[in-house]
Amino acid sequence: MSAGEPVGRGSGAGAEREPERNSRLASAPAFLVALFGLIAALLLPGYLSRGRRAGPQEPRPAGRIVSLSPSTTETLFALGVGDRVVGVSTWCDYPPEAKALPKMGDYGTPATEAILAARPDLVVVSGRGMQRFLAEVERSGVRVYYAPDDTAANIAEGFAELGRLVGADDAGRRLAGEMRLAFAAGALRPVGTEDGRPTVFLVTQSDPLGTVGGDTFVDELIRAAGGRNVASDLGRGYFTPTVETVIRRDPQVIVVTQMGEEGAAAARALAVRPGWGGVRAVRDGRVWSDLDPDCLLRPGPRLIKGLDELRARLARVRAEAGARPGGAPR
Amino acid sequence: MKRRGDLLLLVAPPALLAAAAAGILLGPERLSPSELFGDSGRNILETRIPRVLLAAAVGAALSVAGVLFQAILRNPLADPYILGASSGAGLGAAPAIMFALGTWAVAGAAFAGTMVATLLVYHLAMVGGRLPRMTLLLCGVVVGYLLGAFLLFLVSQQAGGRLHDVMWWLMGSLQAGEPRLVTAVWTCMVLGTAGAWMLSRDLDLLAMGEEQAEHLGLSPERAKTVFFALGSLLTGAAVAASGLIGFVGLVVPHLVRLLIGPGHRRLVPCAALTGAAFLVIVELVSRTALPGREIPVGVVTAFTGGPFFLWLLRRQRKVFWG
Repeated sequence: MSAGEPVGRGSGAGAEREPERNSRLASAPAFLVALFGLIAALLLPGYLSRGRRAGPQEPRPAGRIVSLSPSTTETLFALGVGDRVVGVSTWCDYPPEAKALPKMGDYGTPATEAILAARPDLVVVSGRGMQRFLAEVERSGVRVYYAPDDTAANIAEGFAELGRLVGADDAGRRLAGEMRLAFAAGALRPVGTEDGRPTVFLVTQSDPLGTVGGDTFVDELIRAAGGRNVASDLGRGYFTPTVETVIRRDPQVIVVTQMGEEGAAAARALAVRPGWGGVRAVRDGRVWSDLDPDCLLRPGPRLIKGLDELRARLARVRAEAGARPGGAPR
Repeated sequence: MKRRGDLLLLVAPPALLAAAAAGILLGPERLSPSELFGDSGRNILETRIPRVLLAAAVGAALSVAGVLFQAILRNPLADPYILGASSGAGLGAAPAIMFALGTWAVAGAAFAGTMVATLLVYHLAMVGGRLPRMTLLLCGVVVGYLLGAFLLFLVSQQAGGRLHDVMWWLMGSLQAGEPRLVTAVWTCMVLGTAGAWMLSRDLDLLAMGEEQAEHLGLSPERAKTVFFALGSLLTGAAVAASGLIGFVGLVVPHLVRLLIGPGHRRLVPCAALTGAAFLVIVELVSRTALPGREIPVGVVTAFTGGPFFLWLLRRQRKVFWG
């Protein structure tokens, strides 16, 4: 049996090495089990207590409010409850009264202890982005309202909901109605005028070039103002479009969302970028940097103002394009 | 290996030209050459040419810088950013971006940041007139972390659009906002590469080890200082124009070394040409891969180059670098 011998020798050699390897291997599963046990033990209490606080609470209107985004601060003041706001974020700069209020963190990172120390009944913030940071606040029993920041309809609905939460139901409904009306106006244009709408490219950041996609309320705003966002179909949310596609689509208007000297500088920089000299907006001097970006990009009540102003301007562009022979857009 | 080096030197320039031609002729907007070079496509052509030029210069600069740092540190993990250059550049650029100071200010601040970080590391690592490799490496990495912490602090205190601007800069972009910046990067790249190439014998000696180098008549400290300066110049220029583009400076030198061996007389020009061609292709991918949108270049570099490098490494079937 020549084949049996190597096998036997092999197993003999294996048996010699076996004890050492065994002891090490044996401890590995035990260690893993212990590790998982420890992790589970740490996570379990939090998991079990998760739903406990979410009991039915339809409390009285919030008396002390902390607002952690510029847009929600603006909404609260527009609802007429600005005097009940006891804390804001460092970015809340409108209305001017808001600037004087105690700062409780900035947009990305709330100062949890300062918020809790202010004993608010309600914390309001725009969008879900900060949910992770507000877990502690929620756990302590403070109600947190995440105002919608996606579509115009949802933002309007958010105004009404916030109004309800702070006991300003009527003001909330009124604000929501104004917002819906302003955005609906764009849809009420006469049939057949679709093609004459000025094409708009909105710049949210200059290097690399950033813009807004078709699923944003800013895109809705451009449409409602009578324009056509050239980047609508190129991407979603806030994104960096392919520059050559934007140039190829030859927008009639470029809106730079920075203000003052900064905006003017950004507009000049855009005009000298390679390839942009021949774009209609640059050629015709329609790179606008004087629209208040906070009225275009903040999901708050001033969107109505931004929308009105953009609509008035685009109407002029349209009139001029129509008046000039051969100036009609493709 | 020498023959293969000569072969690569022969093949690389046409390959670079082919890559550049592809970068100019192809893109998300499909245009025929007659359209592209006619009136209707002039705008598009004007955006593509500076991008391709910038990609080539940045790719070459980062690759040669990688060769230099790998020789100075005799460490396969060395890349242009290893001695704190990336954090320094970021720390310089971030405030300029946050205050929206414009392309030139951002480029200048990034370049200055690279130089400051580099000088800091150089002085901290200097022990009694010598620059020990391990001390240099450790100082570089720790200064990198330190400046990186400042950078993260600045970024964490920002919100909204500016935060995006900084993040995007950190991921690299070859959108050429300023044509003269392209010229400036080319100048630095050509100077740095030519310098490294002329001193390629010293690089060979240094890479062999400092004692041997000294026996063979090289002053290793002086050589290290010179190469350190050249590498920082190349890195600073690349980073100033395009933000942080990783992977190229680490892997292109290794790739070329795998193909043609370690002699720097051929390694330096081959790395420059290969790095340039590689980044030109990456730039093309970054603007065509997703319809309608651009992907940060720094993301595409590792995506496209990583698998290829791993394949090459496996194919060689031998222990590489020690």
